[in-house]
Amino acid sequence: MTGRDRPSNEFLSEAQDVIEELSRNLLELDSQQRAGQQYDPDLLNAAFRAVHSLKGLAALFNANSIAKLSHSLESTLDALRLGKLELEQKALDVLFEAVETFQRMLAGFGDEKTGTVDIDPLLGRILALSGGDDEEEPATSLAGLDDSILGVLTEYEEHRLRENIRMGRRLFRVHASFDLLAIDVGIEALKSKMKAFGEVITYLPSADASSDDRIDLDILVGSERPLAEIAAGVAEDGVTVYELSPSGAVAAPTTPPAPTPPPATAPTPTPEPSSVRAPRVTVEPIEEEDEPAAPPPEQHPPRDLDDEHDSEAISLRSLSQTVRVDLSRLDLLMNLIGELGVVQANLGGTLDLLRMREGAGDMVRDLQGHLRTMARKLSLLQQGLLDVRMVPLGQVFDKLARVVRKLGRESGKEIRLTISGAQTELDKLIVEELSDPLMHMIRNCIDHGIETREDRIEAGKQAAGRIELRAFQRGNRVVIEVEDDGRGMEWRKIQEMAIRRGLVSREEAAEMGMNEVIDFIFMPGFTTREVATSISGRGVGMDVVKTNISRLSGMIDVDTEPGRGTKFSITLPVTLAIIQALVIETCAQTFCIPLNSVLESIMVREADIVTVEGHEVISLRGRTLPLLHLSRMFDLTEETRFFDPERVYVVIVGLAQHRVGLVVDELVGQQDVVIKPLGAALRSVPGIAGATELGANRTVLLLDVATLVDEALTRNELTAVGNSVVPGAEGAGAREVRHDGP
Amino acid sequence: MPDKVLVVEDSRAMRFFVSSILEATGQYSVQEVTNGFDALRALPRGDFAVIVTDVNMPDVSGIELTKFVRSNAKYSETPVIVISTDSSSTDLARAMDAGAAAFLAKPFTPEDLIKVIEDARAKAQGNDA
Repeated sequence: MTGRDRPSNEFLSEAQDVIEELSRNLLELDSQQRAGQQYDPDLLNAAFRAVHSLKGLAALFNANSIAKLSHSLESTLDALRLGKLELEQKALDVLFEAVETFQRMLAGFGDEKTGTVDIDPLLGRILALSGGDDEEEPATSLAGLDDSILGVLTEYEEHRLRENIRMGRRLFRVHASFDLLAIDVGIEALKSKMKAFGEVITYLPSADASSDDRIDLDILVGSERPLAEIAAGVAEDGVTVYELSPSGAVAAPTTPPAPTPPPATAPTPTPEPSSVRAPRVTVEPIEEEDEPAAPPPEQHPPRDLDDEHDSEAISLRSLSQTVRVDLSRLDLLMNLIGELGVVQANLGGTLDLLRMREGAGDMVRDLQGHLRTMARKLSLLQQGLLDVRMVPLGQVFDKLARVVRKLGRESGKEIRLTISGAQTELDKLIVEELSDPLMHMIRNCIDHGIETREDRIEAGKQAAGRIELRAFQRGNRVVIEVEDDGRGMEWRKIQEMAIRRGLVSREEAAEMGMNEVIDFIFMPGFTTREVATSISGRGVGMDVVKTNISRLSGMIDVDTEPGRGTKFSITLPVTLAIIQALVIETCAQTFCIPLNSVLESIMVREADIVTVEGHEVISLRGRTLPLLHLSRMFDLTEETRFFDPERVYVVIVGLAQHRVGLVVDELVGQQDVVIKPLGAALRSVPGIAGATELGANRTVLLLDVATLVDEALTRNELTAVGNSVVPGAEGAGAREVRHDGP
Repeated sequence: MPDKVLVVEDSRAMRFFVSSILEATGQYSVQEVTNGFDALRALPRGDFAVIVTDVNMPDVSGIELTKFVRSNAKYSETPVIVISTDSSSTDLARAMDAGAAAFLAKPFTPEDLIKVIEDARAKAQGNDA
C-alpha cells in the first residue's frame, strides 16, 4: 500500500473495515436465521449502515463501481431493515456474494486492469430480490405519540417504533441524566439493562439540561414488560420511566425507589455509572464557572489559549483510543531494537575486557548493573512492539465462515462450523499469509472430507457435517486446528496412488508406516480423487498449504482416522520479525537455527546412528529420524570438526510435517536475533535464510530449515547418493562470511 | 484565530475528507467526533462556529442532534449542516424540519462544502443583526 497516497489508503483501510463489519453482521444474521430464532434488527441495521457508509466513501474517492454496487445493495438492505422485504436465505446468498465482490474490487482498486470487476450479473440478482414484492408497511397508528418525538425519528427508528407497536409491545420513555464526561460509560450501562427488557429505539437528547456538565436524555424503549418491572430493573439515581400509552395519555411516572445500599438485585455486574463517574471527575477538575444553570454564551469570561486547550482535553476526548500505523514504520522500529541488541552485546564485550583491568572492580559492578537494566528494558521494548503488530485471528476466521457457508450450499452438503479462539493473536503478516492455506484446507474438508448427507446417515453419523476451527496459544507458538468428522483418509489408497504416480516403489512403500504414507498428500499434484471437482479443483492441494506454512516457519501435522475424520494442526510462531535462535557450532563455524523450527536437542552416541541404504538415521521414540550433517551440507573442513563419539549433538528440526536431525558439534545457547537480508553473493546458497549479528560485530548465518529439510529428504529418496555430494562453491561462500572481532 | 467546526461523522475517511478541506482554507480548525454522544460532550466547551453532521448515525442521529442544538439557547448562532447520501430522503427532510441550516448530499466537492458553510454562517449572522 506504500505506493498510494494518503487519501487512497484511508479509503482502502476504511472500506476494508466496513466490509468486514458487513460480513460479520451477515454471518451473525445467517446463524440466527438458521437456528430458527428471530433475528436481531440491530444487525440488519448495522449491515445497512455499513453499506451506506461504503457508498458515501466510494463516491468520494471515485470508486465508481463500488459506489454503484453499494447503492444498489443499500436499497435492498434498506427495504430489509424497514421490513419491506423479507430476509430469506436467497437474500443472504446475494448479500454474501456482494461481500466477496467488494473484496475483489478493493483488491483491484487503483489498478486499471483488475479494477474492472463485472458487477452487472450481481446487480441483476440484487434487483431481482426486491423486484415487485415491494410491500407497503402496514400503517400502524402512531396517533397519540408526541410530535416532538416523531419529528426527530429517522425513518428506520420510526419503522422500529411501528414494529414494536405491531408486536404488541408497550412503549416507554426512560428519562436519565448523565455526567457529560462519563456519558459513554453511563449509556452503556443503561443500554445493557434496557436491552434485557426489549429494544432501545432511540436516544433523544433533551435541551433543558441543568448544567453544562450534565445532559438529559430520553430513551425510547419497546418492551413487553410492565412499567413497574422496568422501573425496578433500572433502579438508579436520576432515572425515571414513563409509559407512553397508545392512546396518547402518559401514565404516571414511576421513579424507582432510591437504591437501597448494596443492591442485591443488580442484574449484571456492569459498574454503576455513579461509581465510575467519581474518579474521572476528581482526576480532571471541571471549571467552576459552568456551575450556574445554562449561562448564555456571552457571559463566558474570555479564556486564554492555554485554558481553552486544557478544557478541550477534558471534554473532547474521543471514545476511540486507537491509532492506525503503517506496518513499515513498525519494521523500522523493530530493526532499531535489533541493532540496539547488538550494541548491548558489544557493551558486554567491553565489560569483559574491563574485568581484566586491575582496580576497575567498582566500575565493572556498576556497568554490569546498568547493562542488566538495559537488557531488561530492551526486552520489554521489544515485546511491546511485537504486541502492537498482533491482530486477532478472527479476521481470517470470518472469511472462512463465509467460505464454509458458500461451499456448503454449492456442494449440497449441510455443514456446521464451530469456531473457537478467534481472539488468539498473531503477527499481522502471519495472519495475512494464513488465509490462503486455511482456505485450501477448508475447501478440502468440504470437498473430500465431509461425506454426502446420504452417506453420513448410512454411516450412522449426523446428517450435518461438522468442521471445527480452533486456535490457541501454546507457549510462544499458536496452534490452529482444522478438524472435520468426515470420512478420514484411507492410507492404503494414498499408498496405492503414490506408487502409481511413481513417487515411491512398491517395495519401499511396503516398508513405510502410516504416517510416512500420509505425508504423500503434501507432494505437489497429489490427489486421490480421480475427478476434479469445482471446489478443490485439481492439482492445487496440500503442497501449496505446506509451502505457505513452511514459509512462516510453521509446522503442519495430520491426524486421521478412516470413517471418523481428519484433524490438521498448524503450529506457528507468534511473530517473524525478531526470532529466537539456537546458536550452534560445527567445524568451528557458528550458525543460528530459528528456535521456532527446533523441536528438541538430543545427545546420542555414534553407536546409535545406523546407516540405512547409504544414509544415516537414528531411531527416536519409534520413529525413524533422518540425519543431516551440517558440516557436510556446507562442505566444511572436517579437520576442524570437534567430534566425540560418545556425545553427538542432534538438533531436531521440524517443518511442515517433516522432522530431521541436524548433527552439530556444540550447542552454544539461545539468543534473540534480527534477521537481515543476505548480500547477493550468498543469496543463491541453499540452506541459508539470512544473516544476523551476534555481539562483537560477528556476522552469523541463519539456517533455512525448509531447504535443509528438503535436502535431507531428497537425499533419502535418492538412495544411490552418498553423504558428501555437495557442490563446493556453496560451501566456499558460507565460509567467507564470518568476521571475527578486532 | 481560526473558527472552530465540529464534524460529527462515523466514517473515518469522510471525516478526513471534510477536515482536510476545511483546514486547508486556513479559516477553520476542526474538532472531529465519531458519534452523537461525543458531539453532545464536545458542544458545551467547544464554542463552535458551525456544526457539520452526518444524518444517519445510530443512537443519537443527526436529526436528534440538530433538534438539540436548535432548542438550546446557548447555540442559537451555531448553524448545523447535515450531510446525507440521499437528497430526497425522509431523514434529510426531518433534519431540515428540526432546524438544520443547510444540507449537503454525498458526493460533494470541496467548493460545495465551503460554500454551504459560508452561506449558512452569513445567514445566521444576518438573522442576528
